[in-house]
Amino acid sequence: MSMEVESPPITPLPPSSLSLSLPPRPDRRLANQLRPPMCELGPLNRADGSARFAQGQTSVLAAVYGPAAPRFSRKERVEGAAVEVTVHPHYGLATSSEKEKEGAVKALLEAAICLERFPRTVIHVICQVCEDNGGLMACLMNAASLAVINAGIDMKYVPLTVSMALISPPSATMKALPSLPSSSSTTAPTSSSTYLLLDPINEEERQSIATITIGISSVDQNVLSCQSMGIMMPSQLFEAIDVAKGAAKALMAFLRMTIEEHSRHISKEK
Amino acid sequence: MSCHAHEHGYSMVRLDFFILTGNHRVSMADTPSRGAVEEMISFYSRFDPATYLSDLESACRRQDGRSHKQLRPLKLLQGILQKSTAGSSLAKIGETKVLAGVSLQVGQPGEDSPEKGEIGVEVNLLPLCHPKFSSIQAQQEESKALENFVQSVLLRCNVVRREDLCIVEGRHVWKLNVDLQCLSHDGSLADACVLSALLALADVTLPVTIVGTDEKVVILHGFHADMLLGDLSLAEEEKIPTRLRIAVDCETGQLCTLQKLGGVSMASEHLDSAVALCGARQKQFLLERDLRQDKS
Repeated sequence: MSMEVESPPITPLPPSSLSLSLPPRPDRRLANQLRPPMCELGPLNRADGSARFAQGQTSVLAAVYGPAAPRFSRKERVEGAAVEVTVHPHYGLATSSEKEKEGAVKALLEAAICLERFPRTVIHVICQVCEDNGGLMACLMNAASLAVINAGIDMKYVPLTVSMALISPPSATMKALPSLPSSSSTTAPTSSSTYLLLDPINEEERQSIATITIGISSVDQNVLSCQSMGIMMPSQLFEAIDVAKGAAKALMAFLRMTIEEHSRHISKEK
Repeated sequence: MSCHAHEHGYSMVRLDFFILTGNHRVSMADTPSRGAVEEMISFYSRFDPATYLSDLESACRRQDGRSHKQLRPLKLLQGILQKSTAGSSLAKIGETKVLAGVSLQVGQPGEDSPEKGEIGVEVNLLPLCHPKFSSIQAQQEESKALENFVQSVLLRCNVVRREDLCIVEGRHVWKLNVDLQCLSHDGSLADACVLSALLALADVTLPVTIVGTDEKVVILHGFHADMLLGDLSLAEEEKIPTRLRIAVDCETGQLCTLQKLGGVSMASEHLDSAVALCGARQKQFLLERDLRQDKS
């Protein structure tokens, strides 16, 4: 009942002239290339909905149980469903950083799911991190959204999340290169030596000045969620948002293809 | 207490000694205590949140009398617990008050960073600040999230240079423990926590080195019906699901963190104006800082 779909590295935007002057990334991708996404819908047959989403070597398995009756009546909300998220790290016990991730996924899903259709119920979302090689927050959010879709729970839109990193290459030769004009030009002199990398791996995240995770709505292409940590100019954040919108379109095309394949597969089996 | 529908369509709630009508005019026979008025308003907002929110959209005044982009007053005090802590501060944003104390310890550095000291953050949310924290679970959930946030801002956003905390490389470093006590919660708890942690750290004079801090300000904005609301108070925080938390550097205006969790989708221009609104908080902070420096 489960299906895997893979694709070659996706290049959502034509490479900008600035990114060509960067040293190559450890996995030979361009600055604006996503790792090949992999998606498996319904790998767990006991859960109401489940999905495994992976980008390169970052992989998350999400399961959704619900809408179900809550165990404690104090958790009931008359206006709509309550969403509970648990994130299990790939090794060790859950710490406060897992709590932060749970809060972020919960906020995203509470906004996306039509909660008012399921009053007095609880929707449990459990995410297990299988592998972590950068961009974990985005992978978690995408896996959780896919699992909710697989469970057949109504959503207002599909949130598509991408992660990015802002790096500043330490070599002096970078600054000697003539700065080429880009479509979103930044006037501050320091920003000419900082670059935006799409879908960073662990190594790149550790060396970055800032990491940004942006969730875009599939319906109106506006920003649903944004977490940026690290110093940057506001203009760089808006540049990152534009890049995220492009990447979200590519992800959406991939998800649509996956879900259509999956439903065709199911109807064939019947 | 009685409740009936008014002929103009507002629901009227009549409590013991005063009447609240749909357009926020409170007429009172005896002046009730401040707590009673707030309780009544919070009852009204819970009882009829749709009217409360639509009043927000139509009128230009928020529940506490501010305009949409008006921020709450900021009050900062440093060095108030001189005997027991190395550095301390009290930050007040409107009615939200957070007390910070920094204590010092000498310890061994981590293996992968022999020249860097450590900063640990602990947040205490007492039932004193808000009744919802009377259960340990609610306390722990929110305090862990706050600890994480404050620690990320302090470490990731160049607030304190950890190299400054080194005594002997590889052997001894300073370990600073920032202890945040929330005394009163009226929204924007994270902002007050970061500000007070920052000031407490700036107040610290290490016997060997001086901790230099780059100052950051944090502000929580709300977004409802295409309107940006600056600096949410608690009642608004509970009602408005779309919230933006932005931290900017005081001197350079660089963005340290922008967190938007949940709520409706926002177009880039709204995000832009939200970041621009931080300028007002920066000015407040710099003003306060100059006042403190004049006094000392």
